This record gives sequence, C-alpha cells and structure tokens, in this order.
Amino acid sequence: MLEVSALAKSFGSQSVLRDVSLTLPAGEVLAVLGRSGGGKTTLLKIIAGLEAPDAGTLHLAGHDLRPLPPNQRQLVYLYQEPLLFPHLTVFENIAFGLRIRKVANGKITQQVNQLLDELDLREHAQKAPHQLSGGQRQRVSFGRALIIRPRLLLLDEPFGNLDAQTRADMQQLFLRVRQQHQMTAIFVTHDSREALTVGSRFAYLEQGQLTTFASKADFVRDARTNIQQEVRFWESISRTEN
Amino acid sequence: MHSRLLIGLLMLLFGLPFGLLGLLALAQGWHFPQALPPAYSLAALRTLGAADSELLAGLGRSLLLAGTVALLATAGGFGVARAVARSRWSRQWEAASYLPYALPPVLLATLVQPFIIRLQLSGSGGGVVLGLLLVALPFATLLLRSFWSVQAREYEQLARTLGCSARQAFGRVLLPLAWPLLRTTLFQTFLLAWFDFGLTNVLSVGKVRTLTVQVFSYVGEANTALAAVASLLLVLPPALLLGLNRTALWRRPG
Amino acid sequence: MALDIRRFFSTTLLGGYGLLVLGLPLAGLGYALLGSLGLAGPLAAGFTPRYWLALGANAGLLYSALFSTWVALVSVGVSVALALSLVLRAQPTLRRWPLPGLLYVPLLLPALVLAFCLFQLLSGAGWLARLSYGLEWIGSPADFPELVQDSAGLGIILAQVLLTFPFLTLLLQAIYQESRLDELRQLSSTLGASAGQFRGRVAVPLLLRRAAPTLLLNFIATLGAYDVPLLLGRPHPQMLSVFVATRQQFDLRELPMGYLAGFLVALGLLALIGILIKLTRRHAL
Repeated sequence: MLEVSALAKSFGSQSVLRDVSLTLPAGEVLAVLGRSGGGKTTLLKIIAGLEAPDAGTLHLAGHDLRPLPPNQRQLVYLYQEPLLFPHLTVFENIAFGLRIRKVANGKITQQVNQLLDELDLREHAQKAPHQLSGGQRQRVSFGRALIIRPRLLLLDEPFGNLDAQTRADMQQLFLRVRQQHQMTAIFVTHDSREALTVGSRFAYLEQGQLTTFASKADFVRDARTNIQQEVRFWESISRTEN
Repeated sequence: MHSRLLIGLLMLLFGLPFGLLGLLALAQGWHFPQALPPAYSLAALRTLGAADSELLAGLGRSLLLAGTVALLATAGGFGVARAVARSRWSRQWEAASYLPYALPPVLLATLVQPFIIRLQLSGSGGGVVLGLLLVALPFATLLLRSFWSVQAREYEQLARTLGCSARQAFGRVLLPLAWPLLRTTLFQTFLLAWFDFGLTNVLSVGKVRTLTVQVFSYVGEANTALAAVASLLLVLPPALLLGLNRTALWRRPG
Repeated sequence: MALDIRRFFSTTLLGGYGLLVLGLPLAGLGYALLGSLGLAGPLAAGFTPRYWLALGANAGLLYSALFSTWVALVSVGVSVALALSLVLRAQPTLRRWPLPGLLYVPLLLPALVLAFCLFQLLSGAGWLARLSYGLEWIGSPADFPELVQDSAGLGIILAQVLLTFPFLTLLLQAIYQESRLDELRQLSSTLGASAGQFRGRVAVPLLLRRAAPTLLLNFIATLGAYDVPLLLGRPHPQMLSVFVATRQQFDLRELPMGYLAGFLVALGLLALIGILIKLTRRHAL
C-alpha cells in the first residue's frame, strides 16, 4: 500500500534522512522506534506532504504522492500535543474535516456522534478543549483524524505527554480503533514497550537511517532496540528478589 | 482602615481630572477666585449638536484616522510578524522593530517630515496615517510576533493534513486562533493613534484637526469649555474599550 | 512552487517593512545631517560648518538635554518608588475591589488632556489656588506657589508620574503574581529572612530586573515627551522634543539648527537605548 524508496532529506549541511525505504501493506501498523532527533518527525512530515524530500519516491496504492499538496493526500499527521482547536467545541473539533469537505449537516451529526460514542466522549461533546483531561484531549484528536477516513495515519509520539496509566489506556484504545477501522498507520515512539504493544511491523530509525525487521523476533533481538538488555534487567531483579 | 484610606486617596486623585473636566465643560464665567462656577450652561455641549460642529467633525476625523491606522497596522503587523518569525534574521528584524517605536514620535515626525512634504502628503490625512503607521506597524508586529510560534505552524500543518487548503487553514484555524491577540492589537493601535497629538500636529502642520489637536488649540485660545468638551470626547472611546476588555488598555509587553 | 511564491511574498513584505520602519527614519536622519551642513533643505546654499560651530556658542540644546534627563529620571524614579511601595506594602488592597480596575482609569486620559487638567488645577488661577484663596492662605494668584510652567519642571514631572505609576503598578503586580513572590516570601521566611530582608534582597531586585525593559522604554518615552511639556513647560528650558519641534516649525532660518538638533537628539537617544539594552540584557533574569 505505502511504498517509500530511497528517501533523503537534509537541512543545510545536516543530513536528516539517508536512503530511507519501506513498504507497508494495508491494515498494518509500522512501529518505528527511535530517539528524538533521529529524523522520525521529518520522515512523517515528508509522507504527510508537510516537507519536501530532496530525493526518493513515495507511492500510496500505486499513485505518486509527491505532486499532491497535504490537503489532498488524506493522510493525517498527529502530533505529540493533541492541538485541539481552542475556539471549537469537542463536537466541532471532530467535525472539522467534514466541514472543510462541505459534508451535509445531518451526515456530520450522525458520523460525529458515532465517533463520540466509540471514543467514549459523548458527554463531553459540547465542552471546550480546555475543560478536558490530557487523555480525553488525545481521544478527541484521534476522532478528528479518524472522521476523514485517512488512508494512512501518521502518529508522532502521540502518547508521549500522558501519564503511565492514561498511556496504557490509550494504547488499548488505539488497538481497538485500529481493528475496527482496518487502519494503516506509522506509529513513531521512543518506548520499546509501546512499539511492541501497538505495532504489527517494526523498524528502527537512528541518525536518518531506517532498519526494517522481517519479524518481531528480529526486532527484539537487535541490540540497538535495547529490549534484550531490558529483559535481562528485569530477570536480574526477579532473581535477587527470590 | 489603611486600605480604605489608600483606595479613597486614589479615587480622589484619579477622579479629580474627570470632575474638573465636567465642571469646566458646564461652567459659565468661572473666574478666580470662585471655587465653583457661578452659573452653568449647556452652551459648549450644544455645539456638538450644530450641523457645522467643528468638534463633531474632529471626533469623526479622529475615529476615521485611528480606525484606519488600527486596521492597517494590525493586518500588516500580522503578515509582517509571520514573515519575521520565519525569516533567518528573525532576531535582527525584531530589534529593528524597536527603532521607530523607541524614538519619541515627535522626533520621528520631524525626521520624516521632509519626505512627507516631498510625497505631497504634508498637511493631509494620508501623511498623518503614514506617520502613525511608522509607530503603530512595528508595535503591532512586536505584539503579534508571539503568535507565530512553532505551535501556530503545527496547527496550520495539522489543518492541512485534515483537508484544508492554505487559504482555509488561514481562515478557519489561524485567524480564529489569533483573534484574541488580534483584537488586543486592534484596540492598542487604535488608542495609540487616538491619543496621539504631537506626531499628528507636527506632520500635518496643525491642519488635520483631530480631537487632540483641537484640545490644544482651544487651550491656546483660552476656550476652556470647548477644550473640556473635546477632552471628554477623547476619553469616551477608551472608556468604552475598557468596559469591553481590560487588555485593550494594558498588556504586558513581551 | 507554492512554497517559492510564499517565500517571494514574505521577502517582499519584509523588504517593504524594512523600507518603512528602518529606511524612512534612517533616511530622515541622513537628511537631517545634510540639512545641518547646509546641503539639504529649502534654504540649502552649499556646505557650511556654521551651524555645527554655533552649537558651541549656544547651550540651548545642552540645557534642553539636561532638563529632559532631570525630568525623566525624577518622574520614572518617583513612579517606580510609588508602584513598588504599592505592590510590596499594599498587596491585599491591590487584589481587592476596586483596585485593579481603578488603576486602569488614568490610562483613559491622553497625556495632553491630563496636562490640561493639571494646568486648570495647579496654575496661579487654578482650582487649588482658588481653594487656598477661599481659606485665606493666599491673597492673589501671584502668591500661589509655581507648580506649572515652573523652572524645575514640577508640573511636567507630576503629570508624567500620574501617567506612569498606575501602569507600572499593574506591570509590577503582574510580575509579582507570575513570579509567585508570595510563595518566595514564605520560603525566604523559613530560611530566616525578615519581611524587610525579603523585600530588599528578593522582591525588589526580582521585580526591577524583570520590569527593566519596560522601565527603559518608559524612561526614553519620558525623555522625548512632547504633549505634557508643551502645556506645562516653559519656553526655557524646553524638553527635547519641544526644542526640536519648535525649531523646525516656525522660522525657516532656524531650520538647519532644527535639523542639527533633531539629528543629535535622535543619535543620542539611539546610543542611549543601545547602551541601556546592553546593560539590562546583562542583568536580565
């Protein structure tokens, strides 16, 4: 479905992405693990059309993405901050993409209400964004993206600012929604546990170079992901406990 | 007790000018050593009702001038602030914006006067608008600069991926987001032009008779009643704006 | 493509902006320099150092600069002192009705109107003089102390203080709350500081440093004040803006001198701003 090949980008003399290639079949979630500053954001922004690549090609379902401006790509890029529109209610935030597309009012109401139910936000529909908790805001941000039925969802550390419990809840919600909507997504995170929870395919990005893994086991085994080290740490703890 | 004394003192201090203006506007034949006017008259106020009222014309002129300056400065400042934020020399542009804003307006007026004359704008409303913009535009730019942060850019990009064209992202997202700050800027630049006397008087050689210029000339003619009425008219719009929104009159810089 | 167009637009916009806010004043400065050397202006008759040399013989500009500095220092100083004492000594009052709102009231008055009011209040035949006469403290307007159009600039200073101190109080109060000085006070008292020590060693330095850029702008604005000294000042000494403006307005023969004064004052102020900005940056919080 998504095919990226030989993507490169530099800002001035600094090379941010080097020869990045990946393929992502429909319905799969690619979890990209990497530290901040590794080029994750740039990769997502190029796919979304918010930055132009210096070299390389991008195809979605066989069509070249490069000539399309971001608003015609139907790929939603989600930031770490939920970035809800403060001047709109929760309902209107979610309805935003449909209003832009001039969808009929009745249809908007129906679709937004359905999503509000799905995201457990019905009672907050008429609230202003500042009245919501962090997790609720992130759910609204999800709803606002889902409503335009994006062909691909690009998530840039979406749960990075949430506390541990809310974060775990949101990961479960993401899995549920993904299943329901048969979503294809690229999910960028610096947390290997989160990557393993949400991903169905795995990649590692460091200093502009992307490594994709054929299987979860390869991903876990790779020393750079630090997962083995983590496992050993917990094992040593449980040994000393006993 | 201490607190009440302080409040009472401040109320007296701040109320005195308004009380005095009211008395002066209504007084008739009020001379030394009378502590209060011997007679009251609505004559000065009635001049406002006359068809050829100079004061009313001054009020209109001031409103038009300050309104034009506020609109141009705010709209221009919004665009310039965006360009400044995205420029490689953003800090240098910011520093440069302080130049006309830091120089006293009258000095600025005397400096640009030769060019205003050459542009044949001397003594005209256009010349005064240009002169006031010289101060109001950088002021608006500095105020609005804070809006064009990384976050504004992220909002814009988000709106684009949700399906907005560049124009829709501007109209439906950026403009509503910036509106509170834009409103403050509109108020402040309006007041900047509304309160100005020196720059207007120097640049228009006294010919563009705004309310402040009229106050000055009535004071010169010792026509205290009309000077007081003009002064009260000057206080009216800021008072209205204060009622609407406190930040209209005062906002922390930076 | 779209990006290039936008960049072009933004460059053009910045160019126009630079031309207006930098180009025009700087060109004015250049013109004033040429005018003071007899090279520009309606009566220009070729290069002459005459006006610059005359500067040595005529101390008007120097007096004017000194007088302005005096007025600006005293007015900003008194305003800061008033605002500080309100913020530090009357905190509960400042938070209660009607105070924050009350402090906005003087901001409604244009400087010119305030000057007019003060003249009506404080002149020899003004309202206070009339009350004094009624109380038989004075026998004629001439007995009333000179408070406006006086040689020390008292009237001007009073007007500037009335215009500045409410604004500064609002500013310092905002900084007080933003910097959570109440919590800092509790903290420093647990560290053993008395109320006076807290004010002197924590509150005042913190408030002043954070307010420094605004105080600086205020000081410059007072140095260049025009409306107030025009009504409440004397023909001699004049404050700087009045000095420059009157020399450019009435007599064409005085114009080169006016250019010279404008050039020097603008240059002096810019240098002063540069120095003060450097100083405040060095001590900024």
